[in-house]
Amino acid sequence: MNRSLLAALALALFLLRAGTAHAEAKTLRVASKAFTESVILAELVTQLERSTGIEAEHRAGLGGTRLVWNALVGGSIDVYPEYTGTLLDEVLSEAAHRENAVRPEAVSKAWLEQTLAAHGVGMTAPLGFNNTYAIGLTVARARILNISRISELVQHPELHFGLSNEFMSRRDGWPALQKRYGLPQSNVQGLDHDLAYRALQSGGIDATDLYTTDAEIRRYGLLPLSDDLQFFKRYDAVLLYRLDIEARWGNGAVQSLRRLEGRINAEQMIALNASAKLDRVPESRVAADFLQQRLGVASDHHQAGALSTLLARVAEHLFLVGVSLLAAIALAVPLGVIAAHRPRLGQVVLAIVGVVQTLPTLALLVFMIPLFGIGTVPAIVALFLYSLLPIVRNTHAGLCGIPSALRESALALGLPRGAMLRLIELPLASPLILAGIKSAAVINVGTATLGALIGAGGLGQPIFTGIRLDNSSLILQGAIPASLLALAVQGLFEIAERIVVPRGLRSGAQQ
Amino acid sequence: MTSAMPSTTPILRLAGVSKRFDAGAALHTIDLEIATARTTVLLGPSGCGKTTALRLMLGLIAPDTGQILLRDLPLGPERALQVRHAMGYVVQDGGLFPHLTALENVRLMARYLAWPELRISQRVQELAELVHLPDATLARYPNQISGGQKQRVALMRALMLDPELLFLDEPLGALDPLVRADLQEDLARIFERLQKTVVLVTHDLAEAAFLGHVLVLLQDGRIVQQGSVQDFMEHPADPFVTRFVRAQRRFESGSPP
Repeated sequence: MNRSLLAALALALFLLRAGTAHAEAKTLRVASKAFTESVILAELVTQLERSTGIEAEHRAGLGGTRLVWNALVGGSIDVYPEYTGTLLDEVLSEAAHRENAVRPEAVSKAWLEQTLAAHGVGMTAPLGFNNTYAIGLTVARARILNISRISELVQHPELHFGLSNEFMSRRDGWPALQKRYGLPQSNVQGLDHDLAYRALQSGGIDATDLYTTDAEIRRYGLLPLSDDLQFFKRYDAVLLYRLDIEARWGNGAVQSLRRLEGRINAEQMIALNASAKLDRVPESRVAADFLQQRLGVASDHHQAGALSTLLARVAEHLFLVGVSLLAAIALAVPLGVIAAHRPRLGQVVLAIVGVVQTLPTLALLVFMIPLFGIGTVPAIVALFLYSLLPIVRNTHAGLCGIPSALRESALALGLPRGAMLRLIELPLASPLILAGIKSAAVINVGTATLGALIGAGGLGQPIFTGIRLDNSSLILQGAIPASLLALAVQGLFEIAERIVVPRGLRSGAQQ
Repeated sequence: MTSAMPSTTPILRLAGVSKRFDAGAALHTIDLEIATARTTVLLGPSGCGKTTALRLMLGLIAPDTGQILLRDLPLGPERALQVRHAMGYVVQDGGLFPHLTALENVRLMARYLAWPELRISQRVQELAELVHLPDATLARYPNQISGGQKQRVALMRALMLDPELLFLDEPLGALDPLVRADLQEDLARIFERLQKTVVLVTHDLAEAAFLGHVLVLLQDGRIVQQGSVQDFMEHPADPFVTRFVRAQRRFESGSPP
């Protein structure tokens, strides 16, 4: 019985996977990581591809480098923006170490291209800006001191540095920088990044560390000093793409990517980041304006209305929760029945679903990318797995809790095992089983927000975009409907209890 | 209802049956014949093995040694379902399924066996009259009716398929004295009328004497004596029988049976 169940499950997953793979094959999938710059770059690519007639979609804000890279190699996305430094540090770090080349400059372009090609991945030339660490002063202060390069700081030992705690402690951060340039400043303190910007403005500190394309550079009127000894690693923005996109969408697909090569300098990227992050212009609008002005490409960017967006998110969310829950019920109730009837096997089953429950969600999602790609399917599979424990456990407990007098009465009546389960045991266990399904559903509504990190949409999308843009109203646009949904699900199950749980088992039925 | 009735051939036979439990209560090798169309009462103090013997006869547990023969055929797992349709079982608190109404409890097996609706309702009507249960009570859930009513419903459920054998495990054990006396009278009347083979378990000698044709007294998993109450009093097999009879008579206000 359990073997055929597993076979059915495997088949269902296979069909689910095959179905989505087929549906997505025609659309070029561009992805971005969960920060504004990545989203803008991916949006530029998406709109550029669309302008040449290729059907393209943007899966915005996926949860991390490892995840996006795996998705690219696994074929569930086709293009995403990356930085050369990240590529060498995180993605290809082992290969790069073997190449004895810790510094990107030391790695030949040919080596990089060859290594990527081995994964079926191509890389464009740099897009034109290097998003790395820098030391910044206010433009006004730099003008008074008459400095524009880090090496010129040597002549100003009196300057007060306020550096982010991370930069203070990084191996390639302040201590190494100080040594390399022979910086004499001794008045150096660790600060929160946001506080550092304010302290700069008020004159509390003279210099801080920043990223060279931070939107704050424009907001606070900062000058990133140039790294004249080339101390900081280069983080040149590039586009990574699957080499097979040429075969699938024609030469034009790669041509479009190449049109962005060398077209965005640091100043322009700062401006783009600032309009999205500070002026709260939607990324799609920011990208469309840039394409119009810099490349003369008219792109059809359209902004859906707030209500229809919300409804679409809620629908996606309900889909994730509903499908995963139904699948979980279909497997977990039989598993609970088996566990109750075979105590030794039951212990194993309960232990396994218990372990599944302890896996961190993000780890599980990353783990599933090679199997299911990104998007709806892995999110549903993850939610499905998380739903198993409460349902299996409650089914098991419900069946084991049936008094032996009742079990013997049923047995003595001469009911075969199947009929006994259907007519007696499951109805008697139904209040507990339903409670298990209810807690699985409520937990699912919350966990499904994490689906946004692997491109499954849902109410997590506005939440994570809001976190990325530091926009609390956007966060609430996801968080409030998600909470209401959880309450609604709870209420729905209370109604279901009235229908499903036999009247004689309800607490109110006593005389 | 005394031992004056002629003895008949046994329908059920326990031959060299023993059963041992980890928890202690056990049945040593016993031989026992259950006479057809008579009421046999298994009697004895708690833990004497009387309920174990009953569960063995029902096939709810299997013996360690020996055989249980129904009409000379061994009771085995392959015949279990078939055999159980020929047996009715009533437990101490009724064992009614709380998710079903009293009526649904009674009809359960007949419906499962796809009896025609008319036959089911006729049979329910018959049984309701037999056990003196009003229709209104049948519409209720087990947790809405009294203990005595529960036992009447349980009896209806046990009799629904018109079984040859009826097993009752302390059916009156949990009832207060007045309800108990009422139900005792009704049970005696019902047994008399149905002429079924009945096996009843109790620790109450007066109840056993009142309801049973044959009394089987057990102690520590062994049969001490079989016979009528008169036999127990006039020819006790050993001192335990005398002690058991005396202990019970002390609490009975009426004359000896």
